[in-house]
Amino acid sequence: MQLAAEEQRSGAITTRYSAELADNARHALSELRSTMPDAVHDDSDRRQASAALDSLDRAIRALDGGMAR
Amino acid sequence: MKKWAEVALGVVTSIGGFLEVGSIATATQGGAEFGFQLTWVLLLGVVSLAFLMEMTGRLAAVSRRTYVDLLREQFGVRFFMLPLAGVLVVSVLVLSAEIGGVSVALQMATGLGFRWWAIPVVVVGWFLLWRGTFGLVEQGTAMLGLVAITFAVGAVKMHPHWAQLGASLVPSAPTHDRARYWYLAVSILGASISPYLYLFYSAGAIEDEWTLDHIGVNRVTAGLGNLFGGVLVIAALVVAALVFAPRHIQVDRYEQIALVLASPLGRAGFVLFLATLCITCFGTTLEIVLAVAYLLAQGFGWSWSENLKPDKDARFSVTYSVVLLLAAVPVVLGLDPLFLTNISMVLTAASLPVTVLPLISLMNDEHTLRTHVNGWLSNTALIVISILSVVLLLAAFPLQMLGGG
Repeated sequence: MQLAAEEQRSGAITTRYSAELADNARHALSELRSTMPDAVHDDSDRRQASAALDSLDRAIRALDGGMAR
Repeated sequence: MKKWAEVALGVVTSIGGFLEVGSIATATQGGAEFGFQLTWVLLLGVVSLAFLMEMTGRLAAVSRRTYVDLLREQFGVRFFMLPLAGVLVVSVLVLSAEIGGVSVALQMATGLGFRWWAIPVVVVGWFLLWRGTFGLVEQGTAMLGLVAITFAVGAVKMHPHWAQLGASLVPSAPTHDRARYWYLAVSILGASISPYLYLFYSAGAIEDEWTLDHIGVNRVTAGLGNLFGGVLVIAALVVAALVFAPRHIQVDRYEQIALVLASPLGRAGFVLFLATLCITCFGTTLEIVLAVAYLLAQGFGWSWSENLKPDKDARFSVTYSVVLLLAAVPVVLGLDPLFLTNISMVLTAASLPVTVLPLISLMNDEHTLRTHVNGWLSNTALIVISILSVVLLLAAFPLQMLGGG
């Protein structure tokens, strides 16, 4: 997703394709958020999973922001 | 002069025909996860395919019969049912994956879901087969398929470490995730050495009316065509290794692969990737469906030729129509095209012995090939490929379970 956001900023990919990627990522993010409580076993797991989800969330927002511009 | 034109055309056809959904997917997955390390597997696949194509082409040029004809005649109908069933099942699966590849490319270009594209793709393909000739299918799609050269341009623009790439042509063991490494190796070999490729090539030699005069053309076409085609697949692996591997991106969807050429070539790279995926998969769709129709027609002794009007070889024409429609079903049902690709490549690898092992006997039969039987080089290669095919059969399913992801 971060690579997609980079390529979108440089104008290398189409808005339609970016929107499709963002939609897929949003779907994956909500699925991961709902399954995360069952998948983590301790605080360390929880911290790593949260960091990964936050990173995905940031990349989606970057992609959305790029499309709005 | 005519011979050189045939050689050039044959080489172009092989280049255009080499790249398809399986090779694009497995090479980019390999590059993303293991850098250049799996390049040797691609080289092994390319060399093996070149030998198999040269042999089945020579068989057709000398005997004026296809490999399938000879399989049935010399091994009997009961034995023939084994390669028939194996190749049929695997080819229809690969065909589904190719239709999925075209559909995904169209989805990324238009935003309309891939499931909706499967039937239009099948209808256009069917129309071309119904109205077109063998030359149109073979050369038309191959010429358009030259767009795949974009991968080579992308690879050069990424400035790979050539010495490191050269070193990766020598087999090496993985440093991490062994099961995944060998699973990808099997998938890459399945994508490179697909039985439909040499069955189509052998039938094409009869369609093009090859004779003993074409032995040289056959050798150059099989050798150079596969070499150049292989270079393009290696280029796909190289670009993936330089774009995805440093970012630790594992390729799980075709939508990710579309980014591979955007990094070195910008917007043009993105558009050319979609064109490459769409055109090469469409060309391969036509080749596979013809290969399946050839297999059944030759196996059951029906009249067959893509150059005949459909009413002159009705069973052949009905076969490709039905097979096309059947292969579209998994895509219409929404089965993930990348999953379909990976599973079909592993099954292809597992199916190789049924079409490779009989060649050992056929290629040494003086009654059929007269003075053109295999020499020591071809026989050594065939024995190595046969051993490889048996190893793939034994390893494919365990590796699918352990490393299939």
